[in-house]
Amino acid sequence: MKKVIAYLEKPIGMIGGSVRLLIAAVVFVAALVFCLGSLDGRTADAAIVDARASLESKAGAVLADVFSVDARSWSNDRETARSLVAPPLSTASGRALAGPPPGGATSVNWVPQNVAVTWADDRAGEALIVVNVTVTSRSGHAESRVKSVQAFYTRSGDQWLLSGLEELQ
Amino acid sequence: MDQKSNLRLKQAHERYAVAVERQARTRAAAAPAIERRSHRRAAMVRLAVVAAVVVAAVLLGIGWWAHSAADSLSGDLADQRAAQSAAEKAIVTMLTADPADASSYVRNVLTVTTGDQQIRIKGASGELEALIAAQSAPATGQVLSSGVAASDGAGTTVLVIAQTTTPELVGGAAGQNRVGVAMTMERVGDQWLVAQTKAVS
Repeated sequence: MKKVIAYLEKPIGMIGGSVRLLIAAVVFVAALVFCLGSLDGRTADAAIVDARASLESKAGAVLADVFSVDARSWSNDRETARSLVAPPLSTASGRALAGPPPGGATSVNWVPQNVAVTWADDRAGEALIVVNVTVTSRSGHAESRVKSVQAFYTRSGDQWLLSGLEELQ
Repeated sequence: MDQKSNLRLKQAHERYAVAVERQARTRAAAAPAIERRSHRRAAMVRLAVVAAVVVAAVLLGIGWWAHSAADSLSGDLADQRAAQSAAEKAIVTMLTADPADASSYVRNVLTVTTGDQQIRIKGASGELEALIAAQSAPATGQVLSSGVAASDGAGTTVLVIAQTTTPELVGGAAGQNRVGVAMTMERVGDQWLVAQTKAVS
């Protein structure tokens, strides 16, 4: 300890001291610039990876909640659906998302089978979804068919809202 | 006059001697403080240099970590994009066939497949050639949309929806004109090849 103190206190001339401080400042600033630059680069890629993972986990559930409806709870179902859509789909489907299941069905049930993310960023995204749609009629007869849809989403914070839908198959 | 002057001169000499002595004493008394101050300044400069170097090392460490993390993230994203575009090309190859040249279909498909898929194609090559030769017109396919369904160490699963004349070539139901296929892509060398396909719609 004494040796360390003795070393630290060894006199330095005015020029020697200034040169040492200058070199230290240059090293510090260079390290700071490198660190901030790298963090910035990481943030951009991490945002896209996060967006893709987030859309992959939510796209199917949002689609199912928007289009599934049961005659017994249609008012609640439609309210949920309306909270999960964004323009232009929300304006285009305003009437469809206001009433009970169409055609006298007792329930329409969308069950996503495969969800694939086409692209996503921090504002919007697109997913390709294969979904099994089951329509149960009043007589109890259930009819299922598999559809493929391209679903368009807008992102607000942690939530993805369905903004468009294109039926592919 | 002379005596008076002598006395004054003597007094002045004495005062001067006292002043010199006092100055020497004051300087001697102040010496430790001056030395302490120069020691303190030297120590502060060295400590500042050490602190700057330590902080710089920490910043370099964080920067290096972020740099390699960014590299691996952008590598993952690039891999997904590469797998997706390879899957789109592969599905077109798998859906394109000329009845007049059925054997080249199997050859083409083998170049875009690997592992189990390749073994299956090889095993079923006779049936595939017969199916293609029986078509009245060339089989065609084009991709409508695709997306990445899952990606891990084992491979990347790409979901593709294609428009085609012959969905049964990729396991779809004959008679429909669109088919959805989940394709597991694996990296072999610098290529992404089809390791497994499953018709999902």
